[in-house]
Amino acid sequence: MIFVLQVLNGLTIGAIYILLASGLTIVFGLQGIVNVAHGVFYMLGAYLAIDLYPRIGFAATLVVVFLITGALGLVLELVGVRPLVRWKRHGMQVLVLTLGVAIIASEVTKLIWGPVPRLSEVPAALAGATTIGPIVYPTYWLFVMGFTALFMTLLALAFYRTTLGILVQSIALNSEIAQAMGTNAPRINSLVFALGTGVAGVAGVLAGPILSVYPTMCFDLLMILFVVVILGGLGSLLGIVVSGILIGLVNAFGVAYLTGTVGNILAFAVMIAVLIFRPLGLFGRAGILK
Amino acid sequence: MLTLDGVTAGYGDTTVLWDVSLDVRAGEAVALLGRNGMGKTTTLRAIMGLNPARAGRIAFKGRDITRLTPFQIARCGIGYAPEGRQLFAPLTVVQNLRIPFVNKHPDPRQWPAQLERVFALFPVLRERSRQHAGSLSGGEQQMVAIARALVGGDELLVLDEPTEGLAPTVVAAIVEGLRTLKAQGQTVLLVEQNAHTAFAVADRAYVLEKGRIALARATAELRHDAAAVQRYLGVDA
Repeated sequence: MIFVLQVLNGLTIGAIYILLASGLTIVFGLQGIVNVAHGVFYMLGAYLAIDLYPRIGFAATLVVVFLITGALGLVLELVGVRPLVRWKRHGMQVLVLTLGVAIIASEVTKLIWGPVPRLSEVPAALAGATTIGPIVYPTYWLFVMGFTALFMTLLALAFYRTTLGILVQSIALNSEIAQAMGTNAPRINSLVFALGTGVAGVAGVLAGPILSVYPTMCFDLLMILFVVVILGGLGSLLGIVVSGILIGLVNAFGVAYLTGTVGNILAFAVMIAVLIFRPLGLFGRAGILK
Repeated sequence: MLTLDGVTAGYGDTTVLWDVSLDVRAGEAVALLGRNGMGKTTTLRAIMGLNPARAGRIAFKGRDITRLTPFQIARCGIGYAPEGRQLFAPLTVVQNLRIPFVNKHPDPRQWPAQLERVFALFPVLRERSRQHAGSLSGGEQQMVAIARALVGGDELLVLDEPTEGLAPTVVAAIVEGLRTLKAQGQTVLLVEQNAHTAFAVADRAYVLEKGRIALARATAELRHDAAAVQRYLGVDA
């Protein structure tokens, strides 16, 4: 029974990893950049939810946070990232720029909301537990899993079945030729970046009542997020689903049977072990790394 | 329709193209000839903005496009089939064609008509339409590359070595397709290493020699000038 509960815990944590990793991995696939500030939007979502939820309700909080973190992400892309990409300064410069943004955001968060971890409420409608056969499990945690499953299904449909999805794929495959075919790559890259940070904000809202909310959470989660994205194979959607679940499970079982620190060590050990045999990650393709 | 005036371009610190001037008039098929490494591909990349001109001016339909980005240039009405085909391999044939259509064609309702047009030109693509572009043969991929340059409803077709590395029967099918396009009044700028393909399609030819225009002639004349063909193209006429 404990075993089944740990599997569910792993899936719930994995669901949050997957939501966060989706934006990170697609942006990497498109522009070849790593946004270290991705966790900031997640943190912002979690903090905003604490203030917004009692006033406007849970569903409205999700929408408002998505719009705010999406808009801020758009500003970061247009003002910070795009000029660097245009001058062919993809790698280290974007890394340092977004790291700087993350450090500033973390300090500002401390100033506004204080250094003490805050508690986020479970929405009233999703409070309590659900009984599935012999298992009794928090309804909210099941909701988070369901939300991620629905989101990833819609994302995959959008990616593989819509015209915008095909344009996004063409940029990831060969940005130069996509543009020679008339694709406005800078605009689509900005849009995808903003959608990714918007989803990161939503993940923060969802994670608030499950993980703790504190000013350095944007860094703590980032490390594990890199494990998820690299283990899955940079730029691969299927990859982050599989590795998100895998790392979520490793984490849950590590925490349950050993300690939290060991859980994290195990996550990195799994990544290293996989990379030895598959340097591009579980589902990484050489082509998409261009 | 297209005018290059004193264009200089290159890669990094290397200049490949020196003071190149040429023009393509509406309804004309023009070939850009020359041996390997003479700057043919660079000329096309400069036109498309992929290697922006460092000096000189490029104009399309009277509009200066020298400083535009590649997607803006493509949207002016230039369809481009790059060297080595460069299809989006994991996407299907139809998806490959869909990309320039949604980006460039002014009328979304023309999609079925545009597909029919390229299927009429290269009938084998109709059977292959739902396959991944990467799974096609070299000749079929080249047909998709040409089709992809056409479906945007473009006024100028820019083709980089459309018969490179293909079997003679396939080359014949491609040449036939290009002649049909030409007969329909399509304006074409064609880079070729194979002089015979160029002579079969083009009205006029420019010859590039070490990044400069060495010769500009009507193909009807050039094909009978055995000395020039031997000197600049390294083949017997």
